[in-house]
Amino acid sequence: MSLLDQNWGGSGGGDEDALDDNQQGRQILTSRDGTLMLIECASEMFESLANAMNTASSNSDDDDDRELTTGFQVVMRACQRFYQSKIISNDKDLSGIILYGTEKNKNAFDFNHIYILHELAQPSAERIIQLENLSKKDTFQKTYKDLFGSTQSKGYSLNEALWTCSNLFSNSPQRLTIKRVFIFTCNDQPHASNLTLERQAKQRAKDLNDVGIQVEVFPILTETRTTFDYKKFFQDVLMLSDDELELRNSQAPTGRLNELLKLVYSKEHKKRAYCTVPFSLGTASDGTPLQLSVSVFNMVRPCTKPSKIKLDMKTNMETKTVTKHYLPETAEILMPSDIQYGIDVSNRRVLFDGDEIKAIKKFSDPGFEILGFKNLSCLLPHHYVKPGHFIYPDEKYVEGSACLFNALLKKCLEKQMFILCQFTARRSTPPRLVALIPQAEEVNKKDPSDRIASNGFHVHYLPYADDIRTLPKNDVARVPDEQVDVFKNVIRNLKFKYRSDKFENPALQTLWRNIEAAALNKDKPEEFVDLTIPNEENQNEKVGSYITEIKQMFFPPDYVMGVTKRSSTKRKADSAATSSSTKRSKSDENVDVEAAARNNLLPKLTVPILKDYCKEKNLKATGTKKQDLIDAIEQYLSIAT
Amino acid sequence: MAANKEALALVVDIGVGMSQAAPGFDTPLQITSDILQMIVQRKMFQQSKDELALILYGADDTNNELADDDNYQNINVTFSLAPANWHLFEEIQKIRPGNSPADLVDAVVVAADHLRRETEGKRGYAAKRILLFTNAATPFSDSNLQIIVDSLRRQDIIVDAIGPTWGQQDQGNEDATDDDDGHQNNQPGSPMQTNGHDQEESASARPTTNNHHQSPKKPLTPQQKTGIRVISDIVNTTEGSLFTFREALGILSVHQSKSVKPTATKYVMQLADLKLHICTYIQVKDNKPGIFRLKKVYARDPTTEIKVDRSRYTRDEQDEEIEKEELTDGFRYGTTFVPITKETLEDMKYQSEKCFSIIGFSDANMMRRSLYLGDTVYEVIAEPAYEEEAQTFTGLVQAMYETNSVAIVRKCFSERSSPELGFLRPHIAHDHICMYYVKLPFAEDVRGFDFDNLDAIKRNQPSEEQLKTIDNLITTMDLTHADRGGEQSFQPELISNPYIQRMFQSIARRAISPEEPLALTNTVMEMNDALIRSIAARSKRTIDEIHDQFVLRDTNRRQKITTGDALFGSNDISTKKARHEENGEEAAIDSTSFEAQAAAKKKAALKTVGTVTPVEDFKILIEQGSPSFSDVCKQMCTLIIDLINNSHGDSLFDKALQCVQCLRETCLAKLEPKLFNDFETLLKRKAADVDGRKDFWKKIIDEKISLITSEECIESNVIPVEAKKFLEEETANEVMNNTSIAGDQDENEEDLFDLI
Repeated sequence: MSLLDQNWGGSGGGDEDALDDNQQGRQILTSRDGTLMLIECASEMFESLANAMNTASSNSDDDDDRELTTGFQVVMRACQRFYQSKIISNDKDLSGIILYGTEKNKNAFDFNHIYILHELAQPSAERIIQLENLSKKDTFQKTYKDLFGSTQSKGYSLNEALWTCSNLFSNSPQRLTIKRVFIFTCNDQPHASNLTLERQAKQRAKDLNDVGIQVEVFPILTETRTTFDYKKFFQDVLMLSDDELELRNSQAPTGRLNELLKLVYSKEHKKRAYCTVPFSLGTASDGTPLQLSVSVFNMVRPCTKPSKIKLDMKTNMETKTVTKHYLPETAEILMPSDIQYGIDVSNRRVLFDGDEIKAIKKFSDPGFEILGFKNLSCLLPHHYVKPGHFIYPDEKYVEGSACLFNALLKKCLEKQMFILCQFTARRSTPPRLVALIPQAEEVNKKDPSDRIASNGFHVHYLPYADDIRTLPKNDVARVPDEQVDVFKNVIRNLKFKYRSDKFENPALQTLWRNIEAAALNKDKPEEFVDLTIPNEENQNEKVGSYITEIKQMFFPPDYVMGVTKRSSTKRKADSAATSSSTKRSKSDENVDVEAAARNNLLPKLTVPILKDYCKEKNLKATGTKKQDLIDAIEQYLSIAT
Repeated sequence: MAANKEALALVVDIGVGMSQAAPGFDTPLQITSDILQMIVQRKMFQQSKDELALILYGADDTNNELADDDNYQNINVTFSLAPANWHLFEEIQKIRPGNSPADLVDAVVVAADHLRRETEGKRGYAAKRILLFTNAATPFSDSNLQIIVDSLRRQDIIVDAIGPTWGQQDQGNEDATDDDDGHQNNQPGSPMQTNGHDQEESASARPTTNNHHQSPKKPLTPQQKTGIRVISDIVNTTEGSLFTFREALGILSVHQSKSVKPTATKYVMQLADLKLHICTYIQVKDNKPGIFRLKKVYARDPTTEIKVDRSRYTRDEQDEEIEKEELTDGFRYGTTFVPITKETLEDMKYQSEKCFSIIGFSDANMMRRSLYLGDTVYEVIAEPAYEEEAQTFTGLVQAMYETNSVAIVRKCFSERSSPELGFLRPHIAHDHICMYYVKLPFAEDVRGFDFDNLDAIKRNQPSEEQLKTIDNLITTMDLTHADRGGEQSFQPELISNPYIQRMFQSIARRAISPEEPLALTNTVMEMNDALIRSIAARSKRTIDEIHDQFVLRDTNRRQKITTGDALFGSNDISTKKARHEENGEEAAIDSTSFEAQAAAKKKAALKTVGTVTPVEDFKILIEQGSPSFSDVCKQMCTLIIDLINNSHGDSLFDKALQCVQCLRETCLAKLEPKLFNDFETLLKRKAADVDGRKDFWKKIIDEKISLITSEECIESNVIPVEAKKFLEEETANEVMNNTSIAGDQDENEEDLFDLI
């Protein structure tokens, strides 16, 4: 579980809230997390790190990380990485940084030694660059001095620091689903000498907990502070039970910090239902509809690339688009009520109102309607049209859904059947046939806590007859078994266990890194290893001998593979015999388009040639497809039909 | 592609025999007309290049090239060979029974002659056909039959015949026409089909949406028997087919969109050192017929296509428009905007080459369907021109098939596109060998949502009895062999997309009778009614058992939404219907021509005040006296408020102001001051709203548009002083602002308290 994960440390309560609450097919507003870093600036934070911590910071090969010698630098780097990762994973989340133990102060209550470095806000490049300056060897001391003053002070109150945090949360303009405070400190008993302050701090921590703010501590060990005992003080701040306390004290103090220091380029997906809809099994004799309720989730969807936006050159600020419909002749702006929709059929325009178009698309209310059951073998390899969903029972609308759902699931698994349904996702979406494929829970045998698949039904969209195209049969001679065996050797030696999380998207990762580099003024982006490019050398090493064998079996000795034959290929030669030499002169400027047209050979010409001809004769094609160009030319030469 | 269209002569018997039917049943001519309309519609919808001619025989008029004083009489070529269009459609609608008998064989000769004349010297005809619609009731001479048939064969003209019956019941098989779909419908290239592409039609796939009532079978007259024999003879020798009306209607009742020619995308597949030329074809992809693409047109003048302007504005209070040249591309990085030049943008893109490389092989069982991504299934075959490589490809497919493996592939369409991940699954049938390619997710695309084990909670665990009931349900609703021949029901290959069917139907209906509301039928349920009913009947008992055994309690949390539904969603159609009922008197207009359609629309549209010329509309409507004065005024008021609210800056204010003025004048003239005064009061109150358009109210003040006073109109109860004060008083909102600044406005302060 990652620290970037919104549910980290929580009771999982956020989960329920994130579920699509009452809407059919409409998504609720985005929910955001808020994280505040509360960082102690005692003098020990500027000492060299304890050995145990050093391993923590230098686990990366990055040169930059080796220069982190003090606790303060490490914490600043951790915050920087947290920001950077947040921008990719969920840039709507808010975070902020508060230092305590500083000489200067900056906060709403004029508390001494408490300095709000970053108010609760979305991360930005400026903030990251500032944090970088606060962590780099050459710059961190000066930057620190300029911002917070030169000396460190012990005269702070943790109570006041926590109060400041709580205040920032309550003043947040956005509603926050999860609120967290991360305390970075090297001091396991900050108010050892002042019992009043200690009591106040503990009470404040309890208050925070009561309003749903989670507190977490990241201990920093240094030369002089080599241990961190939670029992002394933080057990009460974190409300740890004795068992938890023991676990904490026995853990290496660096683990959590290491996670923060990792730069993660991955998008976070909040578990939220795409829609929650009824699942209808039929109607009982007394007229009661037999309906359960299911939540529909999208488990696999293309991760969107950061979208290009248009900026105002003068200010570099974002712009907005205003769409106006207007009449071409008078430039009169039109309202939706002035707009109708037309379809041209053979020169007649058929008209519909917007409402009618909606009505044509509406077949039934959202939901699943059962048609029957079928054996899983009825699903053929090519039965697929678009990415599917996953359904899980929902007890909120219909109590008892889970039990019936579970019974269906168990029996479908046992009998190897899928449920054939008609599924309407949204009110104005025409229905689709779907196969509900049963999925049993699958757990990694080595690690029972690693769930590979959850139980539920996969919703698999089936094509309609209209979607399946008729292709010519490809009936070729089969290869004899002994030759096939050589291929089997190739397959055996190049076999690996496919896992969906194995390959990162090279285009997306490259873009993320490049944007980051541009925003942070870096010379070069972070490195990325593209695993989708097969390692040819490696492959040849493993199967080279078999490949050679295959080559000898099928190819003449001097055959060069993969080279595209020019116009002398057999197939083309065959047809060329009858149809003059138009093709051979493809590269030739003076292809006789007109002659080709007369002989009905336009389709044999390339698109660029047709385009050039259209341009030359000033012909306007109705589209960009080849047939459109051909139509235009035929019409021009009045060979048209 | 060279020969890509058909020439089709529709030869229709309109003689006396064709218009005879038992009371309450459609005549053969009516059914023929329906079939013809469906054929023509289909050709238009498919944007087919096929050319059609319409030839009527038994007509009262004679119009054909062969006719002289004695020969080829009463044969009328009403539409010369050309691609299907609305004119042809109207000609078909105009077909009426004729009273002058004509010779069937003569009609065929005229048709053949017409086809010859019209196609001579032109290219691109793949076939020439005559479609003969007759019940063979009219006598004819078959003296020259052999010569004529020979001539047809020489010209490669195929003759198909369509009629109520072809006499199968002579063999004593009462229901022959119902069940003999096997041998004739599946003939490729039959005229009703999309050219070139034969569809697998079978009885179950054919929704029976038509509700034709054909006459009960009557014994055939001797003339019909002879006729049928001769027609069968012609059809057989020209290699044509005989269709009954029922068959033809069945085939035509399923709309088909334009067929797509398969086109190959070529790649070089790489596996270690092997490089093989391959072709990929789209096998499955959501079919969105191009003809459904909607054009936005102006409601008052449907010939005008509306243009869309998308301009950029600053995102601040100024709301300034920004010219294209002043824009730059950029990305968002957190809250930071990162401007990027065109050149850097290119550099930032991931560079890749066109490729189709096998990364490795994996167990086919690992490829869960839930991982499939993308919108297309491709068929992959070896490029036939490279024989040796094709053989190697075949070897690989066989080996993968036998080891139950799939290949994981990196595929990139071009240098400019992003690489994708996918897999190849081998497919071998007795006469076909290929692989299927489907896209797979990258790590970023997978959302690792976790769901609790359902058995973790006791009350979610079904009892043995409950499980047994579900077992029964699966057995009674098993579709695996539910079809008549023991085949599976609801095979995707045989179920048409109901939306496509309905859309075509709606277009056809609207094109033919623009004023009628749409009939929104064609659900999957309706199209497979019989099957669904039989399953429902079988599973009825089990459903009741489930109802008894499982407790399902609706928490009623959805209730609210359903009511909202009733308010906004489902009344669309009913209002539409109401509107059309209002327009009832106009339905009498001949609505088939486009002009009539447009005119009707225009007039119909002028039941409302539009935004383009509201003042003119308003005046016309007031003059028309319908709808009622108060309704028109209400429309005007709504429109004014719309204009104000939708105005970008003050761009629409002038227009709104004109409307207000016009409304005032009209109310004054019609002695209805209250209407206007109420509206102005409303405007003022609206201006006080937080997001109200105070700026517009200012205009009203500037223009001194006051309430209608008793001085102006006897009906008004507003005295001039009040009216003046009404304009001078500030809106509540302004008052609020001012009180904090100025202390001397005590009276206003009181007003404020009143308002609060």
